[in-house]
Amino acid sequence: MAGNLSDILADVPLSSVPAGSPSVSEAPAIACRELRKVYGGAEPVIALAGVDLAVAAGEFLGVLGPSGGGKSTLLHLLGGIDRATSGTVSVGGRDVGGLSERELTLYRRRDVGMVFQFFNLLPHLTVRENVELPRLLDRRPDASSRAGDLLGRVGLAHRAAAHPYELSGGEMQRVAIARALVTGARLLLADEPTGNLDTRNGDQVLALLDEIRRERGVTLILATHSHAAAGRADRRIEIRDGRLVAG
Amino acid sequence: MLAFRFVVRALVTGPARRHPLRLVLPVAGVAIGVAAIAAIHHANRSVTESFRAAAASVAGRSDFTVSGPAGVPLEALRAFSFLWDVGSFAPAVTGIVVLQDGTGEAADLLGVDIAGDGAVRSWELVSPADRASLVRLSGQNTVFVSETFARRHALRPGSPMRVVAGGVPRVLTVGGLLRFSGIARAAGEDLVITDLTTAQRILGKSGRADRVDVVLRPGADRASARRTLASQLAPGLRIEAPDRSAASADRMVRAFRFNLNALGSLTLLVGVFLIANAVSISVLRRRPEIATLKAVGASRSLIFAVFLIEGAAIGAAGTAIGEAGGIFLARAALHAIGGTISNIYLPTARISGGSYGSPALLAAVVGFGAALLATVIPAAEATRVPPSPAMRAGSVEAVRRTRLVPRALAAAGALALAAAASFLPPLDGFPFFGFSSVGLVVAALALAAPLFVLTVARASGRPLRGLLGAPGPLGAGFFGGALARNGIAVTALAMALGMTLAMIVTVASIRETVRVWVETTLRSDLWVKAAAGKSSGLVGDLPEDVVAFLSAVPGVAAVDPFRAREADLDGRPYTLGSGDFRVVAKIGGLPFVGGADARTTAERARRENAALISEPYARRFGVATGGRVTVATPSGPRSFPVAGVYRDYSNDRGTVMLDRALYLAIFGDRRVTSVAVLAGAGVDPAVLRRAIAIAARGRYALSISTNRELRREVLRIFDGTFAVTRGLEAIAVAVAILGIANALLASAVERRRAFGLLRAIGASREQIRGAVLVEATLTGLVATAAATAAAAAFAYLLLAVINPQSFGWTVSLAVPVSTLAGAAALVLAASILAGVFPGRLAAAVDPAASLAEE
Amino acid sequence: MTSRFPFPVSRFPALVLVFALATPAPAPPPGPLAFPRDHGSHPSAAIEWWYYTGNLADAAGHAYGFQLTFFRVGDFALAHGAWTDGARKTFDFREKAHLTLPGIAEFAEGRLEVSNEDWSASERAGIHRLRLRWENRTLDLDLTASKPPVLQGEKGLSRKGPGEGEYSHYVSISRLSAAGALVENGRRTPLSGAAWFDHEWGPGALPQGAAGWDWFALQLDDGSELMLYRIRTKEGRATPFSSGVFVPPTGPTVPLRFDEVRFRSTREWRSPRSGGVYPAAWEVAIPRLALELTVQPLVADQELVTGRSTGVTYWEGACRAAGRRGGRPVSARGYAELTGYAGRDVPGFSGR
Repeated sequence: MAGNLSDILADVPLSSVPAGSPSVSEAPAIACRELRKVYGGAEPVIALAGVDLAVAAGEFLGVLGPSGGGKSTLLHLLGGIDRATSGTVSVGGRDVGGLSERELTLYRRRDVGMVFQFFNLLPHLTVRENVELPRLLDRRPDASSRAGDLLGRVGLAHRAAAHPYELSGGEMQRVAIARALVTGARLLLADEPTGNLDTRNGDQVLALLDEIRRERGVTLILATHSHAAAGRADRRIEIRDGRLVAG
Repeated sequence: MLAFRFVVRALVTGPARRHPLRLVLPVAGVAIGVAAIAAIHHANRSVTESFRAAAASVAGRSDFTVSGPAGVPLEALRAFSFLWDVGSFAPAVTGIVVLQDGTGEAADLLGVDIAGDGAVRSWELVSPADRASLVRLSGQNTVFVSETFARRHALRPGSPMRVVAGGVPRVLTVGGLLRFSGIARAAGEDLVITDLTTAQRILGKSGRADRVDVVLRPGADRASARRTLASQLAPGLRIEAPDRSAASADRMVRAFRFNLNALGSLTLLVGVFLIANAVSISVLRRRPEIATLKAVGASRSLIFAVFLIEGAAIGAAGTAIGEAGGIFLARAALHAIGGTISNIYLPTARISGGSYGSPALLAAVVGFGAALLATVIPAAEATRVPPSPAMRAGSVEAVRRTRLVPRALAAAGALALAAAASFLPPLDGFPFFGFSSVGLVVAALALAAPLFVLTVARASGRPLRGLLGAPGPLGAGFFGGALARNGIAVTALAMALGMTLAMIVTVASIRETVRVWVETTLRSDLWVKAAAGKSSGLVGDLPEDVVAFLSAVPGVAAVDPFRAREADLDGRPYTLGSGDFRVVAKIGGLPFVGGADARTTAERARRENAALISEPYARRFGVATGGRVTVATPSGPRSFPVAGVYRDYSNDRGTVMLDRALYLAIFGDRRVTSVAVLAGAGVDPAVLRRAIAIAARGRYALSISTNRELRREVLRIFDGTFAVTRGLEAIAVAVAILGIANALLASAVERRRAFGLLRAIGASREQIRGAVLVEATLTGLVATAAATAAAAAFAYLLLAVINPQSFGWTVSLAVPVSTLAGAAALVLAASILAGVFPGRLAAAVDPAASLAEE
Repeated sequence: MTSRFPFPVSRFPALVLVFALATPAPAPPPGPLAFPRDHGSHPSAAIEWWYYTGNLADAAGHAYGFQLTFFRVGDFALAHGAWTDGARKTFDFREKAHLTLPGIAEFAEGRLEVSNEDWSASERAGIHRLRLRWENRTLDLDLTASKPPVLQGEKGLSRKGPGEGEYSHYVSISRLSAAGALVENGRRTPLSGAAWFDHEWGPGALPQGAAGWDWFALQLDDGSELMLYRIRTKEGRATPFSSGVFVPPTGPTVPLRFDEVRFRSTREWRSPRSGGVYPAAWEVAIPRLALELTVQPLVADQELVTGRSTGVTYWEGACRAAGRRGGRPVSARGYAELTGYAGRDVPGFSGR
């Protein structure tokens, strides 16, 4: 076992960054250069075949493309969930690919918020507990109050004590958004958040994302296969077969 | 057909090949349960078969046998002579000899009409080789033994055989070697056969036989022969089935064996939980595959069948391994059980392994059947997975939660029933309702477990959060999030641990009671009985003149002889004994139930020719002070008033004691079973013992124990009786811990996505491991707490209901807190430890891979 | 005089005497024999037996022979019973072996009352009541002594060899009239005839050098009886202790010396059962008595193989004789006993 009980109870913070605060205090700009991701195995799968990308700070970028084309992979690499095979990912000036395991954990916790298509929430925790979770993982005492504020912002304060299975699809996504923001992350990655929702709920969620982006100064990257869903984005790109496609 | 195979590969064999280790735990659980059942059943059957074979070797072909409370006087054989028209009859003298060749073994001696016994018993002389040799070879102190016996003790025709018989050392001569046939073959190997006269002489049974066996010719009118014989026999003589000794031996050890069976079943039950767990896990893990298969048209029954097959495969694998392992376990169990039985109940019982076939079959059927049964519910669940992945596990849990209230009510109902049943009396001397109550408590436990889990999960979130941060509520959430699975694991562990704790209390209580009893009742300085070799039981008795002999040894202040021998009332065995009530009347020393004064009670018993009975007898036969006991005497059954009931922990057969003078007057049996010796003032008992041993050399073969040795011996026997129980408890607890480990592993596997998500939102590996450890700790804590509650109920049932109804002893409660705490702590620690590996698995989940699974 | 020797059952198989004395050693003083007391058991003797043989006939004149023997050997009670059917030429025997036990096999003291399972013999006021049965055949006989008991040897002490223990007490009743019935398969056949009774007891020592013996007891139709005994050596010659006795119709018995008897066997019979070759007809001549007889068995095969009890294989069978005594023709019925021909006989001798 790499750690022991004391490690469980107290994370060792990065020495270079003040404890508890996000590494970026403002919406980051993002730069990717020749980003490649290859999955090994009997037949290697090339998920990203060298992508160059630049996102401005506070921009709302829409990433279009077919399922399995590489959108999710790109978001995973940006979110620090996966590591690139080659190439660089720079977020707010920091080389995400060069972070250690420990630093990556903190990055995911404090600097990035992710919303997925489904299974955003832990089913056995209440809505409130789900939202406060990242802040709690950071051992911050204000987790609960922050969660309450954010739930109010997404209009679900009255459901704080409910369990995820009692919510509708749209409500669950709004809770996920609240959870993504609870640690004050300035980079928001949404991977097909409306894929399971009907048009009305989907619009509601997209509108909420856009509003929050503007309110808080958050760089928002939305991956979707629906052009309509990407309608509110400032800019749209398309990734197909692991490559950026013009148009 | 192709589709079926494909589905099997996708759902069962494929995953199994990729992750074979995941099947290890459930297979192991089943294997252990099956092995335990097979071993115990085998031991039990072997015991019964051995008893039957032993009885058959003596009973032979006889249709019925005649015996009496003081044997059958040889003169009475004339009443049988009319039987030569319709068959034949043969008398026999039975007793025990202890070999003095270093093995210390006891063997059954059978004295028969050695030339004419062949009509009844099926043995023949094999060396030297013709029957007439029997007539020629027989003589004073000549015996015949089986070839196996001769080999074991390095004997040949003509060899001397040094034994102790009737408390006196003798040298017998091996006249020839025998072979038994038929069912008696195995048991007959331990019989020493001699002529009637020799047996009578060396066992001190002159003028009588212990039994007369009657064989009727085929076609003879049995009923009429029996009636005529009954009309001609003296009133004290009885006609009974020839192998009644087997039935009576069986009864003697029945309670002991039932305990074993119960524990064996417990072990398998725990194993069954493991299978239910395992199949649940695999169903949950493969929900996506199932959904996909359903979406392409696989039917519900196909899915059901496939998972049933998986359960069957686990059951089969576990059963196969269990059977193999069971063979070794069976040998060990048989050795332990046989040792206990011969040490405590029947000194010459040689429990030889019967066929393993039937127990193996039973264990296989039970194990496999239980595996299938355990698979049914999870497999049914699998059929309910919807083809679309929209619905998640959470909604299934929602459905479950609403059924908790009726379950809690059912649990309460079960408890109430258990309480009610505990007041019911025994059935046929058997604490049937007591054991039913135990079962009901287990059922209540199983029903209430999910409620415990949910309550603790909900309540512990906040405090754990303050204590541990995020892993606290995460772990609590995991714990409460798999109600069914964790409920099962908790139940299994609570059951096993609860029973263990209850047994610890019961054994400690009984042991302490016995220890105190031993201190108060064993007052003599030395205890003398016939040399018994390595058996602790009473083997043989001593000639009457040993009393005068001991009295004459310098340094002996007083001697108190006792007589104890086997008797039975309507086939139910007990011990009939005699002692000098004057001694008790003078110095007391016998603890009476209800605190009656020993001296006055003994004096009254002596004056009124009343009996003193032991507590087990009182319970067994339903007799109390002021009631009456019936004892079979040579002149017919006779009833005696009961003057008092005394506490006796030396055996559970029950004893009826008569004053020595009264006993002699009725039975004329002057032999002595044991003698309590009081040393004179200032005489060292150890020195006195040596003096007695020297004086007895060549004349008697004595076993002399000091007071301290005797106390230690009593406790040693006691400990031995419960040794097997302890072994089984350990097994049950081990299996239950495996259940916990399995549940945690299932959790780790099922929640891959959750762990992936957690990693994605910034949980560190340590935090995830911590959450799993919290889940493990909560499981262990809830189980331990439930176990403690269950243990209290079990202990109550054992001490206040089952023990009195089986053994009849008064037991004062002794709670060894440190042992209990230690056991509980050990189990708790093991549960926590069981979370380590699953924690590592959980922490190692690759967030990208798990999130990509859709 | 002569006697039948005990079969070789003894607790001391090696009891062949170490020394052979030229002259008979002194025997223990017998004390006068008195009856019915000495018809009973003598527990101080190691070996004892009561031997009944007889020839019977039914109303139709068919001839039968029976043998009923009770042996007491130490604590053991053994018995042999045989039945010869002269008309059908069949022979049948049974043996029993038990420890002496009440209700099973008993020997009374002071009177003749012996039994083994459901075989019995008892004597009251001169009448011996016998019962012999097996399977579906029961023989009940009342034997009435026609003559007083014959004390063999010296007032009942009969020497068999030179050794100290080679003797027995020997009493015979040479003629008893028999009356009774055979019940077989529910059918009752009245029988009558004549029987011979022998009672011997003693230490049971074997005579040194003996391979076996031939014994004859014949009841002549002129009211006299003849008993002959030949102890055979391995070479087949008679030892000096062979002898006989002649009981005239009235008057004292006449002891016979072994060299007074001319004896020759004229035929042989080979047993399919044991392979033994037995003499099967004899010519006997005793010049002093002017007696010549030709003796033949009633049935050729009257061999007993008694492995379960005594371990001895011997021939004991009903015989017929014819000849002359004192110039007048005579015929006789009786029994012959031939031992030592089957090789499985006397232990210590042939191949044990």
